[in-house]
Amino acid sequence: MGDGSVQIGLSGSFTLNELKRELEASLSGSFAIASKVVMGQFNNFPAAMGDANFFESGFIDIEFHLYFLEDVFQNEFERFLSGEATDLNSLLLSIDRAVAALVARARLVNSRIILCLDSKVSLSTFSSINFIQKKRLSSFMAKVNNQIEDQISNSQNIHYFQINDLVKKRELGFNVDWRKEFLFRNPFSLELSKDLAFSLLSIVESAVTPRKVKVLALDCDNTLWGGIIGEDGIGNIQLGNDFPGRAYRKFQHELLNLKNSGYILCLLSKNNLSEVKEVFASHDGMVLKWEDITGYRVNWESKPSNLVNLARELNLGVDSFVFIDDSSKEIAEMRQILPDVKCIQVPFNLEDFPLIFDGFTDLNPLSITVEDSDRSEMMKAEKERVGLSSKFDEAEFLSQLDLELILSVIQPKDLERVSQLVAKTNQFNLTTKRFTSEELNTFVASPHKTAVVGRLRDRFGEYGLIGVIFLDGLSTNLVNVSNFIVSCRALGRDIEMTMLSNSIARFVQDNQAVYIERAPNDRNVPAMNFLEKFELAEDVPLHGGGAIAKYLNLKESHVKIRWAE
Amino acid sequence: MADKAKNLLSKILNVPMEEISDDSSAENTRGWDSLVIMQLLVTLEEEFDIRISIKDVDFLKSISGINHLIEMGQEAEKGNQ
Repeated sequence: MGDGSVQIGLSGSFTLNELKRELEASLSGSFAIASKVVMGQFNNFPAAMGDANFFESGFIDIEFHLYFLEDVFQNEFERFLSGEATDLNSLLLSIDRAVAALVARARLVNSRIILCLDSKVSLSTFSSINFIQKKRLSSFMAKVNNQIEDQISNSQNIHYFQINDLVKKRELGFNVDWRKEFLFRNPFSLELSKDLAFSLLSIVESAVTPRKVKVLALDCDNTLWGGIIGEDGIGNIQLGNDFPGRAYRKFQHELLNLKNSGYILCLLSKNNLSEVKEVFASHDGMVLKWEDITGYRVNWESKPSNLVNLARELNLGVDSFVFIDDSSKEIAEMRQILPDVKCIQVPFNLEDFPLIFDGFTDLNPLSITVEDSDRSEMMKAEKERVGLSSKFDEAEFLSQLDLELILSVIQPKDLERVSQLVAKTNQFNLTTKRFTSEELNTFVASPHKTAVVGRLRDRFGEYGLIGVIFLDGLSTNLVNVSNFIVSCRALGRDIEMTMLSNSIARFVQDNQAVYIERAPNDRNVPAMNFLEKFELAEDVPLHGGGAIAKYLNLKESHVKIRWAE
Repeated sequence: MADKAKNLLSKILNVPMEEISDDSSAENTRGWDSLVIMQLLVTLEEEFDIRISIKDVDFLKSISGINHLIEMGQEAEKGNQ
């Protein structure tokens, strides 16, 4: 993504030109993503998996590999579909080899790799195939899926799907256009083609644009349950296993699923808090529990002002919110006052309720790291901290937090999170130099280089891995701090200097000097301010690890330090 | 009528309509390959609400053929009304 345009690689066992055209048109059109789509050699599965130069186009951001077993293993599959005894298991070995090569190659790149392996039988009707053959094929596909999922389980940048995962369900006969398959080697009907392109586009979009929506702000009455709690009473609201209560339960299940994939749930309701809490606590039909709710404004104030309040409490912009309400009046008011909030109205017909998120591409979590799914917990802790901060002044607030910074030399388990910090952090990032996972691995494995990572916790909970310092030239007389990154969630806690000084004290000897690299730009102002505040001037190496550490370490006694071995 | 076929092809081939004549065909037009034929098939069916059988695909290799398919489709529609 060096020049800002996204490089997309497309490979497959069928004619991809149609898909390529569709992708290019939508990317430059409605998606407004500058991109270039390149294609690899037609139907060469082993090369697509293992060959690092398969796309002959330098750096690729997102690779799509779409293969049908019928094309990749044509002879074996033709025999199988003609009813001959075939040992499909021998194919497993070939797939194993190819995917192993992909896994090895994926470690060297930062690109996201989407692999689809499927059988055309799953898309189409083959009336002459009998049930036993179908059963054999489906159990074979299950083996393929298990094997591939096992193989890629440690590769965060490979995702495996089947075509059916990416397209809408429709009658089997409507998925395949045999004219196109016979003449042009492309089995997809026009509708299926469009579906598939749309799914790939959503994947591209979610991969290149940071997830904007983080919070779902939910109304209660006629949204989480049917009826009005204040009028109908807890015994009469609609929520349970019979219609219409079922429709609301289904919606709550979807919300819970979103919460578990890293979204934050909040309540924004005009109600009496005690009554709402009572429904959460004691109504049998509730799927969501009070613990699933990270923040709430249940009162009689206007919803836009409540939402602004919530946003401040969670330390997020209002554009991170989706507001869901049944009242067109509330939706209209929100749209008018806070146009950046995305709004979804509960459909009038409850049978349309399950489709509420269809086509809402802002909710499209493709990659979920541990920190993402812990976000709800971390946000809850952040909220309690904000509650505390209003009671104390700054210094007192920090000292009341009982901050503890746990430092350690980078471990293999930290690599994914550190990659994420390197790729995403803009504010406190001395150089904003990005590098690939492989470059990170190389750095960490080099003898005279090391990286120190910091984890932060306080009395309210964990912040997770929040910072990293890269040191090189450890055996020379000038040690280089080649970058220092702190996640924005830990900023404002005054832990940066503690982290830097302790790392220097640990790795720099008294006969060595330290040089701190920097590259100012318009986004890393907080990092530059930090250097300025501590008078860490450019081009002036500091001398002596112990002395520097002593000089730098004076001001931040509110943080407890621990080295983890 | 003739312009419909030329217009469609000029959009798919991304060339000015003047470069396409009534006699244009896959044999004498650069870029009119199987991918273009596939696009013609899909687009014609969508725009003119017709169904083209696999045995008629050869009609997609010339302007006169495309016009023939459009005419046939429209006649079939009249017949249905």
